[in-house]
Amino acid sequence: MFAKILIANRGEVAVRIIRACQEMGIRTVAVYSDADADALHTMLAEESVRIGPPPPAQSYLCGACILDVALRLGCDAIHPGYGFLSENADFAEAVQAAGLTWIGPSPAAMRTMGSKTSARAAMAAAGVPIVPGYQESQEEAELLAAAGRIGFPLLVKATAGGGGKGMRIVEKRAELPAALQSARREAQNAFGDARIYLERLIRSPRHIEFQVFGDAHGNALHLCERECSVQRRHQKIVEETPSPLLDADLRRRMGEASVAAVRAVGYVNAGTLEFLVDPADRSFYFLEMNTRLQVEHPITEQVTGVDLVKLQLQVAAGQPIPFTQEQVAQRRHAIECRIYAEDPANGFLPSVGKVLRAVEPVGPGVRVDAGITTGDEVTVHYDPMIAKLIVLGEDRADAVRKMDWALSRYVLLGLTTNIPFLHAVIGHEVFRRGEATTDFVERYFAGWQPRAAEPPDLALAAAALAELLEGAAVGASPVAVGGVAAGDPYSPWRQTNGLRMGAGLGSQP
Amino acid sequence: MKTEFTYQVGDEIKTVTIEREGDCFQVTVGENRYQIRAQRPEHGRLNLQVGDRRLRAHVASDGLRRYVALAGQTWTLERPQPQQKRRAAAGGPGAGSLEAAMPGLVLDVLVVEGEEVSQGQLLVLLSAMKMELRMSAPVAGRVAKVHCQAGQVVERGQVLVELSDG
Repeated sequence: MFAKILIANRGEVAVRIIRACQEMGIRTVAVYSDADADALHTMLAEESVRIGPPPPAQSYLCGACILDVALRLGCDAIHPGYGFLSENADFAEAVQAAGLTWIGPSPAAMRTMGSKTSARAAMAAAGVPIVPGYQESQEEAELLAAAGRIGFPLLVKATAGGGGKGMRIVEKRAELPAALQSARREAQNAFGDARIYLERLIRSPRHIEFQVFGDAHGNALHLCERECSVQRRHQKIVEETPSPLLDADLRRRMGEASVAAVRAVGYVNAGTLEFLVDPADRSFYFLEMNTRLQVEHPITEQVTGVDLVKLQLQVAAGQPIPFTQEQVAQRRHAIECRIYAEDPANGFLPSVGKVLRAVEPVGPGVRVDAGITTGDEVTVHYDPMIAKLIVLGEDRADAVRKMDWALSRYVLLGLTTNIPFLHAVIGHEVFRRGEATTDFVERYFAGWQPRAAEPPDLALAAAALAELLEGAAVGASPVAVGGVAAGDPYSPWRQTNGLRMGAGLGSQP
Repeated sequence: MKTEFTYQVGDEIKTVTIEREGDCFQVTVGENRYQIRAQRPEHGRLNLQVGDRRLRAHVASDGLRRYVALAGQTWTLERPQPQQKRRAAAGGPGAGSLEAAMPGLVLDVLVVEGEEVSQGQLLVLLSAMKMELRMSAPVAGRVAKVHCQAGQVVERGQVLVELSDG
């Protein structure tokens, strides 16, 4: 096993990986930008090294800077987390060339699965169902002929694409030439690569993915599915497992296809196969493969009892997966909600600020993977996802109730989050019935606004009592009747920053 | 001794009056009177008792803003602006000014002072948390003043560009 690992990431995933390493007795090195000098992950690791200014390109995306730190501090492996450099095959190759272990798949497998078209070709060859499409030529005439065979409506997608960029829905043949042109232009601007391909449009699909693992000894298996149909602008917000749609037969068939895919590309370490499932006929199609740990990995851990980060380390160290496919079972029901620092009342635009007070919900079956705590600053530089709330219930109904409870008890004062929106989502009857499709949010929550309820008397009373008691606690004289002095922004309440910092340190895990 | 606090709720000003009697407080919110037992076991936390109900409240403040988490809900309250600040705000930027719709990093400023711009013209490109936002001219006019530059971090509501009638 490794002696010292560098974690090339930040936020909750860096915290998650550092904790796993510490439990395994592995020393950790955190890297940070100037914006994260006081962040949780830098405080938790045994050593922390500054790698640059806040912009990711000069810090968390600077592979050379990170590799330099790893070599200088005598690390023997690098864990990339998700995002940033995690799917960068060139970086993985550089890590290996420097004599370190890359905790992830081989650069070759990352390249095969990294391009949507080469992944489609590899999966088709392995017998994994792919969405009917065409990618063999960029010629206009060939594309038009292929479109006729695929049928309408169809999708024009960018070969180098992601996040919906360069994507067009084409309802009928006459619209195709214009759509090809505009998709190419957008793809060229976004990715510097104008190539596009065609795919049949599956209306209102479910997004269901399979967690897979391969090791260096030829073992390959899956750890069942995660359903991630609840998305907002192509971003997942609620995930669960088991999927309410799958039955044992469909699960078995999708699982077998996933394992076939792992074997076909000689995949080693953790990966995820994303599928679209047509709820109309329950047919499934390969969408893409993520060659890294996923944000939503905790729900799989909750129902299978496998610590995926520790398994990643074991497999990267050359050990075999210590269980078989037959031993993998889903027990009970897990749901994850992603907490974003964004303002639902302001069009879900990012919200930043200092976390003045964070109190995480605790209780049986409640897990919080957070990258921030009291006193931390959420800045404009990085992803707005600041924490994940994960629950494990006896069954789906119990898990939904538990999530409802836990969302209510997650206190995050000082910044605006999407918690009220998550509440509304899991309270919606379509979600409650387990019937949400990928257009669920778009369809039922267009223009959604948080309820502008008036604060109850007790909330106002608590605010006023806090002014009085917090002020008195720092030795300030009580404010005079009349309200003017009490309304002073430099009132005694504001003078307690020193104490607040103390409280923050005390509540760190 | 009575102490009074005021909070802005929508267009309304709510007044809370507190009179201390030991660790018990006579609290008046608008017309309603409550007897509340309150203790502050640690910074940012209050233990409250109203009749037979005991509650734990979490509180924080930032400038004039007050946060209260109580019984599974979080409330954001505003203390009213002091008189002189209110006047200053009233004399502030006009409807023709461009304010940042979100906190963010200024990626690019596409206009210079003195330039004529049309309604909807892209003036400033903002970025925050991997999201780009195009800030366009709310009205046609002339750029009177540019208040930001590329690379600068701005707050939500901060004036980026001032426009005057052409």
